[in-house]
Amino acid sequence: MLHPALLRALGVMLCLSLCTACAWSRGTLGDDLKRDTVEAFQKGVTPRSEVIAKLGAPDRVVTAHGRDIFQYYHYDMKASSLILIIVNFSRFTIKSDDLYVFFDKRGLVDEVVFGKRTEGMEFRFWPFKD
Amino acid sequence: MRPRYIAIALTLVMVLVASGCGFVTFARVSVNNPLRVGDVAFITPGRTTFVTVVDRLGPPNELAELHDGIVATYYFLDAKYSRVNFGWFARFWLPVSPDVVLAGGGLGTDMFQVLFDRDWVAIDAAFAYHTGTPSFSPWPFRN
Repeated sequence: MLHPALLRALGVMLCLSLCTACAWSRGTLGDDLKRDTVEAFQKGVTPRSEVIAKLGAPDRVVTAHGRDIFQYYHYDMKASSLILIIVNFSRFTIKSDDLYVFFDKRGLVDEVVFGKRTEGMEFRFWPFKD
Repeated sequence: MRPRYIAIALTLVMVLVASGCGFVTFARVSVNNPLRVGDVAFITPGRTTFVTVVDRLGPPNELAELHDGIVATYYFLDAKYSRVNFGWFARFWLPVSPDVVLAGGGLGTDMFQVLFDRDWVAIDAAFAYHTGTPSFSPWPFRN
């Protein structure tokens, strides 16, 4: 009977011998939205010009009930592939960060809605798990 | 659906279809976390506010004004693709490696929309269309 450690080592070597390639890819769309920058906006104080100076022109402008809303977005994609001799596994994960800055009628920040879905996003190749 | 979203989805589907040269290939694409009925069950028309929705689901991917309110849209996608190349074994005795491929996949794409009134209180919520989560099945001849 083989020692368990030797058995594990043989298992790893077998897996490595079957592994012909691995691949990791990364892609982004839009500038990263930093939490520090967003948290610096103060309701009733920060003007529209300052938001534009810090984040640039918005990706979209929406008007709702007479108020302007600036939308900024950032997409992040992580892709990994495990290419074995017989079977290949690939997984692509894409998530978006969306920031909405609501302005009042004076052009000052009224509300900020921000969420970072991309935080904690990992490279995964196993496609059978959520 | 928004053009950038369609572009991302189509590009990845093309990548999936072109990927893999082994005997069996499994590939999956996820865009944002799929929302399920249970995830949005907390929304009560006439009571749930925009802030509550954002706290639970995160910011929407799109806001659009209607003449009597605002609609918030969440996009998500779950695509699965599997492929079996029976010609792969021929490489051991033939000078060329012919492809005999069976492949199949599906896009589980959906939009969830919440309609808010002028006071940012939800008045309706619904999935725009729901194709369900596809399964890994390389058999293309099924109904």
